[in-house]
Amino acid sequence: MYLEVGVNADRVVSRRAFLGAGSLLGLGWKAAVAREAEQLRKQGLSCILLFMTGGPSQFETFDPKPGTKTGGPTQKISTAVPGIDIAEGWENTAKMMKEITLLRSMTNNVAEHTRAQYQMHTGYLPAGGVKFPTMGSIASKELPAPKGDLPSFVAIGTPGNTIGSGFLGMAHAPFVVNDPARMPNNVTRSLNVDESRFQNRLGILAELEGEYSKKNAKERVDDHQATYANAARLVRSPALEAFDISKEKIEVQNRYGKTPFGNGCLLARRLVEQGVPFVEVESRDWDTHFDHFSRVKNLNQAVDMGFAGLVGDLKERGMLEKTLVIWMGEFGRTPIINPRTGRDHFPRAFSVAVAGGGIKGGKVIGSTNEDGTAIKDRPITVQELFSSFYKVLNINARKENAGPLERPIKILDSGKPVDELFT
Amino acid sequence: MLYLRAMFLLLLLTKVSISAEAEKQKAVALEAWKKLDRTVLKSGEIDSLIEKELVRLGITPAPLCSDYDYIRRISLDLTGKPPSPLEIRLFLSDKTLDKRKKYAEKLIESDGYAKYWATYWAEVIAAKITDRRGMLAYRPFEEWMTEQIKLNRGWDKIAHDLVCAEGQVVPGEKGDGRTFLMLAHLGPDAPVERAAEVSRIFLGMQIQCAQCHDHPSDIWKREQFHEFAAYFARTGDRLVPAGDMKFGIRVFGKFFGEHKMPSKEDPAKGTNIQPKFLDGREGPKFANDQKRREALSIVMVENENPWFAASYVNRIWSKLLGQGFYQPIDDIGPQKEAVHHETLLRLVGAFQGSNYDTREFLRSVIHSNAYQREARLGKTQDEHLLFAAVYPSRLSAESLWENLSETMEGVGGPFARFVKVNPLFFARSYEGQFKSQFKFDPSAKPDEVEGAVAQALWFMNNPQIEDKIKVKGNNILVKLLKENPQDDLALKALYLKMLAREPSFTEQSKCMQYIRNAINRETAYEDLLWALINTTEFQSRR
Repeated sequence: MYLEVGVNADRVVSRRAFLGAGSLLGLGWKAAVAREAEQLRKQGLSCILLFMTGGPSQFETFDPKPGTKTGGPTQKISTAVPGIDIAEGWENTAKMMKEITLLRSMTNNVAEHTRAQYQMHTGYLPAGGVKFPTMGSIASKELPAPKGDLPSFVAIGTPGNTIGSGFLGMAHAPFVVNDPARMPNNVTRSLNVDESRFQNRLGILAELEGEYSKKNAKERVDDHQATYANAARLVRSPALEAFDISKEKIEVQNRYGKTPFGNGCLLARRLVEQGVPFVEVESRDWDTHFDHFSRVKNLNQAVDMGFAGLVGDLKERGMLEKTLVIWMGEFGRTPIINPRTGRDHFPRAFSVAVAGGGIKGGKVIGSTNEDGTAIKDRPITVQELFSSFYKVLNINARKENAGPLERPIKILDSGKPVDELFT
Repeated sequence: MLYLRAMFLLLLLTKVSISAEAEKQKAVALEAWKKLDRTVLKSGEIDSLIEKELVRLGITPAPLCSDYDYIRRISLDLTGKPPSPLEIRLFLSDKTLDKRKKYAEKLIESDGYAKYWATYWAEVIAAKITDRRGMLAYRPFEEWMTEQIKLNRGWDKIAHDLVCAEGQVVPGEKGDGRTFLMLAHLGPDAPVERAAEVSRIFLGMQIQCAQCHDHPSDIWKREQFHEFAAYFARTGDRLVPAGDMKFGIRVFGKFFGEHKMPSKEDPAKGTNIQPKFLDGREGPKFANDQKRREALSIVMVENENPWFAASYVNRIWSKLLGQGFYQPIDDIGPQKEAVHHETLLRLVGAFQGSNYDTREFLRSVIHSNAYQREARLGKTQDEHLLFAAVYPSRLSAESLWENLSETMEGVGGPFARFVKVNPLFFARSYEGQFKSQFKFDPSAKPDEVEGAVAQALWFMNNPQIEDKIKVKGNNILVKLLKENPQDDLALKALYLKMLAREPSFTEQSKCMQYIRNAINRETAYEDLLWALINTTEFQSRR
């Protein structure tokens, strides 16, 4: 039942949270037990965020409009779920549609990249006074840490490199992997430094720190040494092998497409398998203001393989139930095709795809009108979207963390979860 | 039961009288802000004020730091760079009484001083940027600010230019650096963000909490915040096409537009608000953009508003001594309590009296004993030392980078510095990645700045650093070992180079022991060099 009780940063149960728990007592005994069982099942959840930086076109992904002026030359294809069609170029993903839910009625009003990226990572618009943490940092703080010294939040391909953990501090900052085909920077010792030399170095370092420590800076040195102990544990940890995707069978590697994005998805699966609660994989260059259709073709190819490979692989390994996979970008692209055969920024109506984490797939929520210029039904806001993510991950979105100047700041300040995802 | 109730009443009464006493003290403190002594201030007066307060508090100040500590501290603080072994030797052999003063003066006059502090201010602004496109103005600002510091322009003049800036930054052109503060926030919400940042940086007050509701822990009313924001109601920004799908940005005055305070019930509706300064003085009504911002830049720096001076004094003092009169440094104001209140008042008065001469203020601080005391932490990291000692803050990303590349004589390859011209390449360069890994908000409290595993890994395993540690090629250990065949001298040289001091007796013997046990001399020194750059001390002020 503790999951219902809000616990603040000092592990002190807040009064408001206590009242919330009290109201639960009103439930029947059976209902309470059933609820607890479901929560226990939800523990150990992970999230993989596939972020399409630049803003992917809904027309060329999950909301095609063939035969209309706005739809362009893009054709639609059928999927494993009768009645759900998506854009050509997503043939692998189409086969996985039974696991995937499409939200075709996302709506927002931020059309500038950095602000929209910030919002689609934190659930908040940027504000000078508060640096809001990205969803990965929230997950790192709220979900159980992985065993074996691995970081709680890994970002592959330097996504959201300007957002980070905000006021949650360095403990929840993303561990960045630039190239998933290689080991992360600085975790591998140089060839000339073997274990015994590494140990010698750490030993003499600890001894030489003594003098500075004695000069009344003991606490600082202790902190520094603790961080070094963690770093050294990671360097020596057998769990580091999770970062080595070459350990996978070649068929598995091929299934993900062997592109930088596909490799990122494969690495994400390996990390989640080791209990890492949050991994973000970035695909860049979706900002197609010109030569849109030819550029999107290439982008689609890599992401289709990676996304479908990931969902299929997670499913076969029985991990999909416990892993929320999110596909999204910061906004969609305009229905109007500009004179340079490009599409521009369009936050008014765009698509997001989700799979796993207990969400039943094979479903479409919301729709756009015939030519995709507006939402037809069930508009979904960014806050509602994030609220849904946190509900899946069993994170209390109204929990308050201590922000700057000790100001309490909610994980998310508004928005109800999208009910249709949970029925 | 009755007894309990009586106790409760008694408690309540004491509480009331205590708070009445506190209110009275607060009123006295507020009154003092109106009677500032604006005469010239000498370092000696700072010290007598501080020592008087320390005596009252019963605290014994730490002794003055050694010459080794001093030269490293003043060099890192004023230029971001550590002193070279040659500079240290010359400084130590200088036997004149005013050598510290002379050395500091030399640094203040150097280009390195202007450059380092210009970057500091660029980071202060960049830390709160809400639109990354504004980063286009980062380098132009750095250049502009370097010039202002070199010319020793008054802080009021600099503030005026930043608050009133009109101009643009366009890729491939020489941009107008003054625009950075305005362009750090773009779009329809920008008036509110610009107001919050002008208040935070120049007045030290975080009034933005009052944007949505009356400030919970301060006197600011919601309306006051929006009156302040109304100074920026007509400040506009727009993209400037620069060919080839590139854009610049421009800040300019719009012909119309009023600031709206959103209605609490329906944020889409709102009341038009006209500018008014925080102390209640009216601003120009229905005026054009330049008139509004000019009016703000004048009313802000007038002597009746001590917070403009107090904000600068508190920030720079805090950077130099490691702790401020108010903490955090950008959350000061009439309702906040300051330590060493009398010293603060005197510094603020003198800064106003000097017409905001930043160098005169800097001199008065660094020549004081307070600045030159030994560094130490309190019993806990966040204990206020009350200026009885200097706080050993962590080096900023900029000075840590300088410390690493100066002591190791270049890290990251021959092109490491070349890429600096283009901000985009810079972000991906070795130096750019290093700085983004070690960066922290310069306005954060020093004891709240944390280290991270990824940072430790960088110093521990980074291949470029390991490459410079090795005894090979032109690396520092090659020359050092050749020039010093005797280990005791070699160790002294190594410590001087890396930590700007001599090893203590214990350190010397621990290192000697390590050398004796090692496979060979080269390996031993590589390991010792590795250890020294990985120490807490290497990454801190001392």
